[in-house]
Amino acid sequence: MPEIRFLQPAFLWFLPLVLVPLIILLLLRRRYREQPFGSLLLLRRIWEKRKRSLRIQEILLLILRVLILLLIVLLFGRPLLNRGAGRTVSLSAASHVIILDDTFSMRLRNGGATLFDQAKREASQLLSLFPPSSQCAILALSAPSGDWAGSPREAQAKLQNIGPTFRTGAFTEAAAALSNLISQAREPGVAVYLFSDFPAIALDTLRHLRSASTRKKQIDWTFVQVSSLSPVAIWTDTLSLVPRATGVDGRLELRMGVVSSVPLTQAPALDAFIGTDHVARRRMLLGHGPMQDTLILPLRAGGVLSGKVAIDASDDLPEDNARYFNFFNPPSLRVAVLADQEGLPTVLNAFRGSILSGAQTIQFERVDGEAWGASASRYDAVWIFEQAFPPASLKDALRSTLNQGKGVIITLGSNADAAAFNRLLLGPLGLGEMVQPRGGGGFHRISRLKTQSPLFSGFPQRLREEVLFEQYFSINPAPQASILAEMDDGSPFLLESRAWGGSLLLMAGSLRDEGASNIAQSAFIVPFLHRCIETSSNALRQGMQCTIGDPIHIPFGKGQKLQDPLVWLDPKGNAVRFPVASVARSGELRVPPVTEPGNYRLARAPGDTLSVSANIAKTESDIRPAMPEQIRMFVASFRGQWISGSADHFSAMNRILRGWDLSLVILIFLALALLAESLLAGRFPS
Amino acid sequence: MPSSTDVLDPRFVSRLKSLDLKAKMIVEGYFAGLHRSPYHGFSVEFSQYRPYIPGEPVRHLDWKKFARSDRYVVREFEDDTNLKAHLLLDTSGSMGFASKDAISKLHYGVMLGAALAYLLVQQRDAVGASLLGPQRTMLIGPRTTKSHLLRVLALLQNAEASGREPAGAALSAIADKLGKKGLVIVLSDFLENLDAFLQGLRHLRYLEHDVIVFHLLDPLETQFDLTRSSTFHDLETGERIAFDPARIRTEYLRAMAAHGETLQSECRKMRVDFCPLTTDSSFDKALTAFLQKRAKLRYA
Repeated sequence: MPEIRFLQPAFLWFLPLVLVPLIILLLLRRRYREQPFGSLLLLRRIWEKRKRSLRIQEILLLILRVLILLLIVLLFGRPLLNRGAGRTVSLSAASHVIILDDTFSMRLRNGGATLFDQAKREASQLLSLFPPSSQCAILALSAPSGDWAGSPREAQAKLQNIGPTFRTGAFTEAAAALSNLISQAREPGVAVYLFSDFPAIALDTLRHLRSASTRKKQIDWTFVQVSSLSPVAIWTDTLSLVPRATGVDGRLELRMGVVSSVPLTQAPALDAFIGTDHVARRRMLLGHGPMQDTLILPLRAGGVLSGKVAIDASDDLPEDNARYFNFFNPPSLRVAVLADQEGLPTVLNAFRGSILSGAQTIQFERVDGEAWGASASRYDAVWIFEQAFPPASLKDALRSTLNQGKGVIITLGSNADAAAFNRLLLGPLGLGEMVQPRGGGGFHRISRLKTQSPLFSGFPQRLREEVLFEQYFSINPAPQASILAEMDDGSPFLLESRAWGGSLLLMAGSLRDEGASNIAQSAFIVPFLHRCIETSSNALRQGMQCTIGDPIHIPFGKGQKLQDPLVWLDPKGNAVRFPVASVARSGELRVPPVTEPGNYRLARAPGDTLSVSANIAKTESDIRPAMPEQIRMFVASFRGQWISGSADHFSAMNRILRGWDLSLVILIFLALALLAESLLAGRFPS
Repeated sequence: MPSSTDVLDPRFVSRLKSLDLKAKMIVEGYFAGLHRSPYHGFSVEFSQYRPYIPGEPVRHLDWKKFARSDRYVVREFEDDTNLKAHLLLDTSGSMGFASKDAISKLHYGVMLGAALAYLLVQQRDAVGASLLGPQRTMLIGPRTTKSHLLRVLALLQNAEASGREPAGAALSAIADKLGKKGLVIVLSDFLENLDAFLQGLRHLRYLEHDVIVFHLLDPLETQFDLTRSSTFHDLETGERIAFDPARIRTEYLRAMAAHGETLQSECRKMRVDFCPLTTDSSFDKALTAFLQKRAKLRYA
């Protein structure tokens, strides 16, 4: 919101002068001079004609004269229009503190120069904006100390002596140093400027710095994000990576724990991210299960990796930098498989390597049908795979699963007991009724596909010929079931329905058939599973989402009933207790960052549980707006000014600090007002 | 010793006490400066001795008078037109107006009228006077004697600007009382409905009177250079209007000029001589206009 401030606010004390024309008019009206005149013959005629317009002129003249005085006062006040909301400190009457982030992550190279170089250059430009007699100080975030440097010139000299480090930020010390500087500031106002890349720990940084505020001084905050590229995460469409920060010229040793069908060499490399062209070894990774490998790769911005990474200490990197290289496993799509056979059906191998959008892999786990219900919440979908007799408890377990919005796939094998299935599943689930096995005498194809269904969005029509079944069940579909495909004899083959809030897919034929094409079937099975995940994820979003590796802040409403202690449960059921007192002061619970994706829960009060879904950030767009947005909101909460994105931070700083000088505008209006007043007052001869 | 210029300055003359003195001063002052004026040599002749003015042709000197009195005098020829002149002075309220540092229009008119009367009697013309206004009944018929001149001067001296009686109507009324044709001298500001005045002038012309009109205005009325918002007070009607004069000045001046032009053009049509004057004008302009008119009548 644009604000107007004045460089010489003392002149505003003259504002009451604008009432002078009104006072003069009122006084003059009372004291009109008596003017005898020979005859008002001519004057009367003119007066009658011009009475009204003269009154209007009088009012306009009054307005113009008031406006002229107002503009003169404003002109002397030197108004500036600035876009920085909440700026209360004028440039000429402030002590200035520049905090330069010289920590590890600022060594990231961004187009040749590092972020630190950019920040230092911009800080130097900022110093040039300050009046020569200003009091200035420079703090390095990794080792903040020092007093007021003196004039901007002296601060420039100090700035040149600061270089990038491998250290982390000393936030507590920075806050203390800032607080000390503020209390010793010469001017009534202090302007604080932080140049940083604002990595994931930025909120903590800012919280510490804000604690340095004092009521005794007016403080303006300006935060300059020197790079729009967040080093928090980088992303491709195949893998996910969440480094905490990188920026060292060197190499990384990776232990890969990811399943990938794309060779890493084909993923956008990360050389520029680090600024090195070290190439040690590369391995082609073809994903068929977890791999344990050590890979040394150059890293460049834009690349994506996932897995666990260790630092090669031979590069003389400090040990504590290991946390900057924590990579996390991407979440998998967990599907519980209820099958009669031991192990997973081999046919499911066809799906294991499938990559859904968002680089989620599918992980199948065979579960015991009777005991499965207790662990149902761990899975994103359930696949009842060609069982002969569904367990009696399956119905309740499925209801629980579907209640969570998750998906269920039922594949009927040739050995399926129709009566049992109809009674326990197909009927209650609203799918229909198995009639009798069909088939025999050759292979049958799927025909009459409901291609407009999203499940077939990726279905290659030409492969329809390759999907062959020998045996299948004829189904009487339930009214609410949707027939997605039929066999060539018109019998429904693929049905979709919804029950108890979840999605159901019924395939009337067996996948065991030799003629079944994995590719063809995956073209609609996989999207279905993905849709189930999305649906269940949406259901979970009624709770809260967070990104693994980031601190979790759970706010509480005023007066909200809370139990003591608050209980935090991870996906494995492990509990961490937080006393309510930790919430009382700040109004929020701060949970340490989680490192495993999954669904967490916070028991707030008896019967009141908050679900927190922790996921790896999926895309750069997920991460980029999230963290900067949080930061921006936080900055706005204490009326700081945020500068980012634009390459020309100096112009933005100039505009915010100096604002747009309105003097010329006021001068123009003043000239126009004077001209108008003179014309109206008849000073110019006609 | 006042110069010839001073004695023609209305402000100077107005300081003199008696009206006959003023009149004499004006006339003699006028002629004293005559040799410097462009009107020198126009054919006016007088019927009495008058002081010789150095520089004049000596052929008009009366040597016998010089021998007797040791004074240089000029013998004038008697005018035998027997002109009967009537002075008509507007005494309506508006004539009493005088702006700062100026004399009132009435006072100016009185002094001018007195000077003209003096001049006429000096020429052995008959002069009478009347006041246009509530006192219009005051009519003095034209005579040539000096004692009559004093009566005329007394009438003029006692004139007061008052009342709301339009002078224009009075003009028509008095026209019938003026007798056979003569010269009518109207002194007025004409700040009222012109139609009545013009009707009066037409009446006079119908009666074959020769008419000369002196349009008397105050400098403020012609310049209207007031800057301060004021409450304007009509001296005739008592009406009051408050406004800022600066804002209507242009229009007023335009209206005043149009008023004067109308009057002048109508006078021209009626073959009435018109002489606009302001109360700070020197008297020589008025006297010259009168003498030019008088000269035309001599040869009419």
